[in-house]
Amino acid sequence: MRRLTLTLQLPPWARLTHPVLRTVLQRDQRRHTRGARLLAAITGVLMALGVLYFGIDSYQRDISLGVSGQGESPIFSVLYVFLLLLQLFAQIAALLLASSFLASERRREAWELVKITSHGAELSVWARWAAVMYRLRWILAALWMPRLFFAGTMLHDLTGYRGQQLDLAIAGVTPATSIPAAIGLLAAVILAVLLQPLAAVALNASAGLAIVALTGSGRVYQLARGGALVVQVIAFAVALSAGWLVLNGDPWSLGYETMSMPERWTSLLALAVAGDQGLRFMNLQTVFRAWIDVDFGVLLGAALLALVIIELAVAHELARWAGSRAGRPARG
Amino acid sequence: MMRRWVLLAIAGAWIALALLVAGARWLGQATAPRGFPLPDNDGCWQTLCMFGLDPDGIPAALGAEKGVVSGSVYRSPGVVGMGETRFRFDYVAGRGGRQTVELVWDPLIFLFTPVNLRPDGPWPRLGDAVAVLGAPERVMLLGDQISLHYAQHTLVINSVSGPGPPYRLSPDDTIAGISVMRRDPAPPGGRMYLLPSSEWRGFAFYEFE
Repeated sequence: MRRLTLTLQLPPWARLTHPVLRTVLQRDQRRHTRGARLLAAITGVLMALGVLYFGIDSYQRDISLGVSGQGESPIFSVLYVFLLLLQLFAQIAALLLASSFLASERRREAWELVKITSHGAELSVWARWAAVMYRLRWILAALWMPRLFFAGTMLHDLTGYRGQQLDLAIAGVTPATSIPAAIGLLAAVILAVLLQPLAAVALNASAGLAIVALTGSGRVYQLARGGALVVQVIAFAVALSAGWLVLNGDPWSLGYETMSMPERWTSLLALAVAGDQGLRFMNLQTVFRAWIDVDFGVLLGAALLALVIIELAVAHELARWAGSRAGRPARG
Repeated sequence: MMRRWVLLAIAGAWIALALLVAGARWLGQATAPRGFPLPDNDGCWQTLCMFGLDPDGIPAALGAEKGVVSGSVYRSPGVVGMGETRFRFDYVAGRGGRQTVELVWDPLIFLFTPVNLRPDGPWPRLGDAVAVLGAPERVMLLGDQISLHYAQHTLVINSVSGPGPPYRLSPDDTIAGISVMRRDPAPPGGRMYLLPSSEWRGFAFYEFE
């Protein structure tokens, strides 16, 4: 009987058996000594434990860090900041790893040899993209596991109030929404939020490759890479603050009161795409508050899912463009 | 090819999640409700119909109701208002803890209130009540309390917080009291409600006019 495995669906360059991917990973491993890798792992674990302790301590002191304190579970409140920082770290790491994989190759002047082979450059760029995803697999898993747990909690919460949670939530929603539509839209929210960290990391890895393909490996590359990081962190901070203003809902604050409905809608979408990657929407009451407090908020899930698909498509096209650009003959 | 596969996978996951959401909703509806049951429009709580009762017969009748802890019913001393009598009893349901409930009884109206509300107790939340009773006729602000008015029922919530309106209603809000009044049906133009009040707009922010 034929065995169906996930690897059958993966392109050859994304499989660990592919020689180019193996070479990239082995070379990356050799760049750092075992001691340096161990030190980095210990530092990372200690920092993660520190942030987790900070989250627990804040929760015990009844300080809401980024959450509204209305309907979020203790686990959600404690993990929110930890996951937020881990997501930002994963995004930055994807950009830096992807660009450094390719830039180091170009600096070693081995790239001209790669380009001579048929589809060599393109294949090599895709393998580096896959290597980034492989290197970040544990971080991605650490981001996904809590999201899967929160998705399960959302489904469990839906059984509450005699199974009328959804019916209660759509009363007063603009535009008026039927139960079948609400079911589809809630499923879209959950799916989009589950896919968003993967899409963000994939997009950043492609952006890292595109930066090298566009700017080479010299000073312009360093500047472009630094600029991309700064833009990313600024977008993260702006999206977080705008989204939190809407979701944490202090209706008496001037900032909230003066915001128009389209501004609130855009702020929530920005929060889910560039800020916390939709983490706040992994709580049923938060989703329902967004639906009812913001006109057309019920359509946020559909918009977010569309954006995730666009992000994945852009990541794909960007990596393909980087591959074809990197394969061009050098000038002069 | 790759893009098509990804799109198909996303579409499949979306359909699967929609089925899970619909399934969870169905499961919630199919599961027998646990918790303190709401009185119905006819003024009956479980099998006990309150209007026209002799107050002396209430403790024995209450004690026979499902979920009422035997021997826990007693008549509270003192008078709340003219013609009103108070009873206390303990109620248990399912896996939840025990909740002491006070019944204030009058020939025309009766009121259930929780005493020392326990978070794990069977006392209903606002979402439970609205799931059963549906949308109220009017939402009123009275002092530091918000009340939801139905044809016969009134639900009182102690959820007012912050410097002033708008106040948010949430399904998780605690009900401070459930009363049922014997009264005539609403006239054709609808019942008149005192201000400040608002029409029902779901679990949203309310600004009372």
